[in-house]
Amino acid sequence: MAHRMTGQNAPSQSQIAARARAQEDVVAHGLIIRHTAGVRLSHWLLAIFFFLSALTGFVIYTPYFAGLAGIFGGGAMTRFLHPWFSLGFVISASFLFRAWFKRMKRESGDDEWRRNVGAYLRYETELQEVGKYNAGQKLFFWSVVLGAAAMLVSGIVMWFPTSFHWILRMIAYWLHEVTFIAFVVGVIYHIYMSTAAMPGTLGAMTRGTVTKAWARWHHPRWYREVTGEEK
Amino acid sequence: MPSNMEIRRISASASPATGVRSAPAVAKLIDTTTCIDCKACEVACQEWNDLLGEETAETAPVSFAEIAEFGAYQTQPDLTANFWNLIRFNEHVERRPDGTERFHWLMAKDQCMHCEDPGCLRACPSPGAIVQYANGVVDFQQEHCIGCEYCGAGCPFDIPRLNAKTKKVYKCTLCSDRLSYGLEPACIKACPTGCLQFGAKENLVQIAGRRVQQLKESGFEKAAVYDPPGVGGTGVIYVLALGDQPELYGLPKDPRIPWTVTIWRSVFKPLGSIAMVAALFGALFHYIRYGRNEVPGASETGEKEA
Repeated sequence: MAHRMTGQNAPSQSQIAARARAQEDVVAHGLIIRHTAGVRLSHWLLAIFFFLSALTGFVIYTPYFAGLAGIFGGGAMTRFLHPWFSLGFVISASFLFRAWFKRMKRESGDDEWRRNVGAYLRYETELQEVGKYNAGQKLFFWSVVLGAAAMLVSGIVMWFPTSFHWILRMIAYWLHEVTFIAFVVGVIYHIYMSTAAMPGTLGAMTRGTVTKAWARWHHPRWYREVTGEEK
Repeated sequence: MPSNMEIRRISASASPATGVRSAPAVAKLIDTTTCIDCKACEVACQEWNDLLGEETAETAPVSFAEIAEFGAYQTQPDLTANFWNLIRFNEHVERRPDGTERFHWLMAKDQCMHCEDPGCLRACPSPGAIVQYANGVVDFQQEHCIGCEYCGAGCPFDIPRLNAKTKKVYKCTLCSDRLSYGLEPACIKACPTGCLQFGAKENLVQIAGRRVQQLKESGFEKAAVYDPPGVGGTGVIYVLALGDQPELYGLPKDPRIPWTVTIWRSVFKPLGSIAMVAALFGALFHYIRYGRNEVPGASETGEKEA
């Protein structure tokens, strides 16, 4: 209908852009689409539920954060909300897992990255074989998957503690504690690397796009795959 | 507030407990050898605390095996959030060294032991939900309780019970409300045989010791006082005729705060906090030392930064 009225059969520039944004690994408007809108939404859903879970978790973790209970309606309400927030976290994590796990498999470029991890962190190296995700990102992905599973299993025990044997409860308390600490440490570096340390990265998760120069610099093999350019 | 009810220890608190005045430790003495299992203390507890007992689970038709398991004369199988004081009833046949057998009815009042070093309080994550008064009484403050039941994991005696409706845990308060007015606990008041006594712990330990001596002289060689040192001693002490086997009475042999709880509460938390703060500083130092991983030529080529 719209076509007939405007007399245009070819899609407009904005329609091309809109379509491209629902895809990934394509060039649009001189930018490369790194993540589909669905992935981006899942990521921010995950981030929101992570922070809600972590903040309510901190209240129970240490009395130094007891004051945070106020923003959730008190200690008892915090304890009530925490497992539900965390369930949201696990569900949104499962969306991202479905979207990503195939791309998070071991690749030829991973060894190159792993050998040069020190130089990589000092920005001293240019690795030519890094694909869409480098070995560090894959490590983070699988850690989150494993961590979310550990949090879920131990969390269910802690949700209904007296339904489980005392030994299971103690294992759950330990597992939940250690995984929580690892999660917070991991997320601190995740946020640091994707914002302050690596300019141009955050846009991949907000608008979905990165510049060609960014892709060539951080993920050269992926850049070559997307653009078809040679080395 | 009378000085004996000042708060000596408080759960999950960033600042120390407020109490400065000291008071003699109080205790309840349960002489199991003079208990006649009349349940007056159970009734007094329910009455004074205005607790309505819950209907116990229907297990009808109750088999003789089930009766034998928890004791035919026991009021209900276990403590509940509305039932803080239960006389446990066990039958036991003692095989004597001379080859004869002696039959025992072992009645032991089960309630919070008011440990000197309370595992519940150490495990509790909610500020002020569990306190210990200057006189040693351990009390739950339900308005601060979040219902996580960590206290149950820390308790070597399996005492705290969650009320399903309020989602708070409850247990014997040692009638802290009565104590603050100089009255003795309700169960003590109701006991007709003098098997229950209340007073300064120092005095009661002596009375218990004398009673044990008496029992030994009358043929109960293994009689002993139960005041387990693993939890720093308790505010409820027992005289047991079969003192070498407290587990026959439903009492743990050597109760301690589980080491798993101690590590969880006292080792993981400080180490974890250090790790998290260190991670923040690590990121900051990395930024200061190495700065940003700029994409080369991004500014010159005029490419838009995403």
